[in-house]
Amino acid sequence: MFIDGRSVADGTEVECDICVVGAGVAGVTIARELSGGSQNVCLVESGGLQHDTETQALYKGSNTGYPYYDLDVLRLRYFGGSGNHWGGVCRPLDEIDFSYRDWIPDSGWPIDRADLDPYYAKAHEVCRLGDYAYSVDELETPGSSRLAFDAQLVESTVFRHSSTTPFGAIYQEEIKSAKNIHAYLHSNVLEFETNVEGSSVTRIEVGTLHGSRFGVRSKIFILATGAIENARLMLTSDTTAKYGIGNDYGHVGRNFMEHVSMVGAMFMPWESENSLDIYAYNENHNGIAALTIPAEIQQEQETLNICANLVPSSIAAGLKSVAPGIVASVIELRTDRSWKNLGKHIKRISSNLDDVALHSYRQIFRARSSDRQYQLVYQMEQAPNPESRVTLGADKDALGMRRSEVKWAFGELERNTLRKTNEIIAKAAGKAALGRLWEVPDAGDSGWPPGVRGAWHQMGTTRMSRDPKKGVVDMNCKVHGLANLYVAGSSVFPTSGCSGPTLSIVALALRLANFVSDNLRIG
Amino acid sequence: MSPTRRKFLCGFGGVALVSVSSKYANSHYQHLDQNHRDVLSVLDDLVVQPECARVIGKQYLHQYPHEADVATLIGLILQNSPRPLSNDYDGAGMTSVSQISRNIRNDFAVGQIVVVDGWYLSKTEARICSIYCFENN
Repeated sequence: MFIDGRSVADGTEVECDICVVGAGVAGVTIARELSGGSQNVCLVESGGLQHDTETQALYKGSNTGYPYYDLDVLRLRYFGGSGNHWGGVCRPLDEIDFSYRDWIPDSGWPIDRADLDPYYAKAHEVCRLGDYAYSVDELETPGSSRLAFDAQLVESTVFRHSSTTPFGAIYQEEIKSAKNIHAYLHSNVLEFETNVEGSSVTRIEVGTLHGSRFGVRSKIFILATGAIENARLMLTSDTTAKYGIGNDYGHVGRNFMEHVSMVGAMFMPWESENSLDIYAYNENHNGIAALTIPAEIQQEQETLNICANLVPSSIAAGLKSVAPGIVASVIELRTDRSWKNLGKHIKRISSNLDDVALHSYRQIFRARSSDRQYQLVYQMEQAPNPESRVTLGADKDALGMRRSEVKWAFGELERNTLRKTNEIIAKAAGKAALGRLWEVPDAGDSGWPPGVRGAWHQMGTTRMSRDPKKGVVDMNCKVHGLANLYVAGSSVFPTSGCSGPTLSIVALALRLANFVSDNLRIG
Repeated sequence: MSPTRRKFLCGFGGVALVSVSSKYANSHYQHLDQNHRDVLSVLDDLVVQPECARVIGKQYLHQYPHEADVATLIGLILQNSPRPLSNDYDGAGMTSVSQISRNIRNDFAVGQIVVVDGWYLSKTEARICSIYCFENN
């Protein structure tokens, strides 16, 4: 059932078996998985069932690093969370994403792909992605097929995409009708309180924007408020732990990651009969092909994982009359959140790169290509970087909590990956006589092409590690040093891969729900 | 040239033949032997706008100044072409243009590429462009 936290009497103490903080993708998935079980579950959500400005403003914060999105635009703070505006594009992480790679500091997960495989299939159902299958064959049509690269150099891979139904709307009724779930809306967690020893969480303090306060006591707590807010809540819980709970080794908030995204190159295909539509969004298909680099080549070239969509630049050129730039697109995305339009916004952001000497190759050589050209829109893994981090700022929100401060930082490894990937694709395209590549020049002395941005995927900040000295949670997502606090969501990702995080968030949430449920049953 | 031949060439290597013109009469070319002069004719079949090729060629020669000589460039372009170049079919059914196209693909396969003006080009392509830097000088 849903309970409006503003109606709970001041000073009330709620008791439950499992308390899930945050009703976003991870929190709702865990609650659904526990639905109908023997445990009494509390789901504590800051927002209501709809967006409201006052609650959303609690997400305001500041950016001090590489230019990033406004923190109150980036995420949504109501039932369903950012799952209410997600793009719906999904793909599991690759096996190499879980491996230790000696050219990427702090890489390697304490679990591997096989540990998540059973949950990925079920996550497909949760995300409404259809069959758990990733074959390019399904996408190909007589007029549109994959580029015939040597697959040992460049592969074509599938990203599946879901309907754009907001996550909260899909699962609202199910949560409402679950007898063992009490979902407290308009209820903001102010602090995690621990026992004197600081070895377990005893209670959370909850506040409402109406000024009332109540507490929730539970055997197990699961923090599931997103990568930025998870860190914020742990850092702000400093009554018994001076630097915040779970932060004995200073890792909370560090290694904040995004998918570094940009138009890195233009591709001019030779073949004129193949439309390459499988690499672009089509509302009639439930998948999009992308170019990826095989693990062996990543290892040989010491690059990060990366994928590229091919966006026809004729479409982008058609949008030239629209003001380009990230800001305009971000503002529109606040009210217009369909995947189809997300693609449009990406094209708009990069449209100013069209027509930049792109016909020059044709002016030189008698290429048989048609007049088509494609933007290579890259989505790149970001290497873990302790200096890329979430901290607490000086400003406070309406509840008196210090706001988040995000410093997004990345560097040489990402830059090298862009350059080497361009080269790998260019060589493979030339070798197979598929076309030519033109790299987008750097913007001034930045070392990066213009328009580098995040993909709205926040990760890291409470990374998973076997060693408490190197991470925040263990392989079961339990916070090191705390007996009963778990973390759900992409904040536990030690590395990010190049796939969107949602499918892995759901898979990890399903795994965690099973783990805590089993543990409680065993006692 | 017959339409059939043109179609064949287009299909083979991504290039088409057009009429051959000879513009190589200045001092940079006078010492070249006949085979090299044939190469220059073949290049005219590959290149559409010499003025654009010059832009690329100039930048390439800036990176590789030791190649800034027509004979050197032609020698490097021909280094993997065992047969004399001409615009007629050879015994294997190949033309000079298709031989050069094959060399270009091979450049990409073995990593003989260069970035010029943003383009990832085979060295053969860049050298072809560079030859136009000497035209009418």
